[in-house]
Amino acid sequence: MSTPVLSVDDLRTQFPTDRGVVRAVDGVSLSIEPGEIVGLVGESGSGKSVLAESVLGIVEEPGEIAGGDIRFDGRSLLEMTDEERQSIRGGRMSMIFQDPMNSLNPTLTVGEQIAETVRLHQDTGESVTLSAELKRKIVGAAKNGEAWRRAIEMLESVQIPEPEARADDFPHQFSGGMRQRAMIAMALACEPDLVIADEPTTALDVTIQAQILEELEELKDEFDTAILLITHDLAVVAETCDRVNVMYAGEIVERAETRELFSNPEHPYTQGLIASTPQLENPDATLEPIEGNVPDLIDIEYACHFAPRCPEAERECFERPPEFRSVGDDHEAACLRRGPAGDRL
Amino acid sequence: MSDKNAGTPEFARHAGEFGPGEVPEEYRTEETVEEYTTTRERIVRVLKRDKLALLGALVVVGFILTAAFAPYVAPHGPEQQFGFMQEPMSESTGDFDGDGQRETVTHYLGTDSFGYDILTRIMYGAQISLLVAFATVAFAFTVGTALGTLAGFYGGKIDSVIMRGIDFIWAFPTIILGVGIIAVMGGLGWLNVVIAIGIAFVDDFARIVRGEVLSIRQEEYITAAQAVGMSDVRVMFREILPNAVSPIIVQATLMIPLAILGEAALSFLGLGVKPTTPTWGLLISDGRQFISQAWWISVMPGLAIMTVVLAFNTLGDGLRDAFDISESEVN
Repeated sequence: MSTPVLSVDDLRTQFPTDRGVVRAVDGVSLSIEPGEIVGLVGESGSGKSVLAESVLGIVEEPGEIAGGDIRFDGRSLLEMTDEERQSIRGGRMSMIFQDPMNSLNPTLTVGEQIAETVRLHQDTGESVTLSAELKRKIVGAAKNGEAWRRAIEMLESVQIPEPEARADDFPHQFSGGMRQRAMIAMALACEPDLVIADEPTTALDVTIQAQILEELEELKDEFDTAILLITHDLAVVAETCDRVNVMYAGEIVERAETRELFSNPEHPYTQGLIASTPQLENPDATLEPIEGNVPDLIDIEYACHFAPRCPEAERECFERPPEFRSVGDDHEAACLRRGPAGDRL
Repeated sequence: MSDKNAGTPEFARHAGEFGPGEVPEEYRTEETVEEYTTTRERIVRVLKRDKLALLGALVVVGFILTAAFAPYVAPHGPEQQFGFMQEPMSESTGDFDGDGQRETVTHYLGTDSFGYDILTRIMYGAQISLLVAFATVAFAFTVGTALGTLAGFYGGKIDSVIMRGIDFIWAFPTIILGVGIIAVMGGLGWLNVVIAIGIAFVDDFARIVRGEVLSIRQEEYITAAQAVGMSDVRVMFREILPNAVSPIIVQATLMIPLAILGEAALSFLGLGVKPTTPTWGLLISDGRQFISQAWWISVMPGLAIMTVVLAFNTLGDGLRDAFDISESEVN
């Protein structure tokens, strides 16, 4: 196996509050190989987005990374200086956001925004100081450079019709789907090694959703980019991902190859998730909700975070932290009652 | 074929006439695109629609032009003396342009206690008064925006320190603070006036900008900008400030009349520019002791101040509507 593009090791990100420390990400490990699409699934509030922010190094104050390590292409991001990290963000690693309505700056044209990202990270011979930016705007020379050409090229590759004309449009003149495409164009403009897509299709309707996912996959092949796809939508995962990590209350509870996970879910939480999703093959099956809610992440005292909602929980589940156990081919679950160890009753 | 299918041939005849994406002529609709309106377009539009704002704008432009071309449009030189305290519309006869012939001139607004023509003095006074007002607002705008942006963007300790300083400025009445600052700096001169009133106005800009920055920095495109590797300074200047510009412009328009009044007040108190320089505040002050004999010396420059302040205010109100800013946001 080659070096993973991203490997997260026992990462802990927490937010101090008046009521105590919120452990949004509590000992998460995962790795992504080059050119792979890895899914990260979980309910709202399970810490998926905080994990993404931690990887990019843009956790909002007063949140902080309290432990663990994040290695990008073998180098620890946490040991880098701010400048080094800044040059990686948007260049070799970028992010696609959930809400396409809000993730583009309304005062700059779409083309300008993509071109600016290119200028920041690739040596196009165009100065990126603010005064140079202003001068370009006044002289109108912004469109002569290589960065602008690249922006148009990117818009074209994400299937925006008439890219030359649309590059001059402002974000509000784009539809939701087009904005998300423009976002993708921006994220991929510098051919990053890793793209973190945080719920990229959640705000879009299903037809557009399918198109965007398809495009992401095509672009992944074209640029050989690894993608960390964060979503709460199992259908999206099943459709696109090579491997899946299931996250619950700040922890990863199960990881497996996609097909394996859907056919043999092992962790009770994953089983619950799948049982609560409508199945096309079996439309008459009753949907089984998971009882209860995601716990308050402040000072969870019991060992397995899922134990209070788990139909199979026993006293031991509250006392002894579950470790990952192999439950199949390249398939691990963090549950005391699973695996060959024989705790299964 | 039974009767049941009797209706279908009617449709079948046209089957395939309109494929996907094709629409009969009469059902075609023009594609409409919502126009982006630039700041300039919005200002032009409001001036067209809001006649009061247009009038304000015209008066403002008129005053600025008069000030700029005072040596050409003023009827006399600023130092040229006539009879003392002549009434408005009175006339003087004499050789005023030095061509050896006697002519009669009208003093539309009268003359003051030194025999200067008041209309002329007001026109020249507009130069200093407007210049000081614009410079003051520019100063307050720059400093206030910078402080407000830093406070809003970084939050925490930086925010607390900056905003406590701003509160300190805010708690003082403008004129008293201005007097204090001039006393500390020592000496008269228009630059000192600009700095004194400018500092007193910093809080208004800083508060508005901070509020805007606080709300804008929650937007996802700010996180997105950080995620593509933009530095903090870049995020502030390229992403946040352009989105906060409307309330700042409106605030600036509404602050200019206050700056004119501030300068006039300081000059009136004798803390403004050199006493011989004509400014509106000094003109009013000069007429104070003669108010019972020659009311026009103080009233005429007062009217000038009133007119231009009113004009700026109607213009500012119009712009506020144009940018759709709620009244509570700017003061």
